[in-house]
Amino acid sequence: MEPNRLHIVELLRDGPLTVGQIKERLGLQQPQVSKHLKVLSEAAIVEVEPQANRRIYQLRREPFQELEAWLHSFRRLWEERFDRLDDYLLEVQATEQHINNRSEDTNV
Amino acid sequence: MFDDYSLIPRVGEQEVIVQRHFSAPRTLLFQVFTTAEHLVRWWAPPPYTVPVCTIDLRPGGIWHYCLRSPEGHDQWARAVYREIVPPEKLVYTTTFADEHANPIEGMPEHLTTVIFMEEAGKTSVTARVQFASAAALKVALDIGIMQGMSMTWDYLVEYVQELQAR
Repeated sequence: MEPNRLHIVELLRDGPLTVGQIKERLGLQQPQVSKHLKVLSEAAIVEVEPQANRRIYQLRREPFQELEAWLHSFRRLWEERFDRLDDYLLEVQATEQHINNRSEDTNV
Repeated sequence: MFDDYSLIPRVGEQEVIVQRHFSAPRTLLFQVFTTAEHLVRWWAPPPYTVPVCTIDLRPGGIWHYCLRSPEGHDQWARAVYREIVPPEKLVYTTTFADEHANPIEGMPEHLTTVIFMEEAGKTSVTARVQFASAAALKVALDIGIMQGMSMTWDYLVEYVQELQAR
């Protein structure tokens, strides 16, 4: 993602802002900021709310909830992977024990 | 109306940490994470299997494997080792791949760090999965990836589907 666009998302993470506020904080020209906001709006990352004569931009929650759900699926993947590993280790250790017992038998 | 802002994860902090204690020596744990004959036995979420797994265990070396669905659909993945400290630490980056281990689209590249620690005869294993902020955001932006993954690795999106069904 374009770095300034990512930066806008990070700024909006702390709360809604006007185009003017975003422009100031990023040190960009208004047309550039407007262009980035248009892309982010079209991607359904931000939404705009007109207030009197100002336009307030804020993040939409849905894409971030999906991201969180996606990350959660990785957590579950690892939890279940550890479950399988636990079972597998028992199996490996039982086999090793069996081999050790057999070699002890042979030594006797 | 902005009360729920804390629910939005901060961009750049996209990571998952999972820890577990195992009643086995650390050397064995490291071995089952880095040996193909062991990995094929436990790595894949059933009913998936791992019919092919090759490992070049050195920094920059590739761990390439195939996940096969019961229907016979193959999804290849590859990891490139970044750091190997037997039997303490393993660091690698993962992406989906083709059968020749070339990276392909479908899953943003992510960094996995596995730490093995010995604790009174047991071993604690910590897996930390990190997504670069840009890559993680791409997931948030790109709804298509969800569908892509559900076709190839539906296990991972099962949870999302559950959420959507609510």
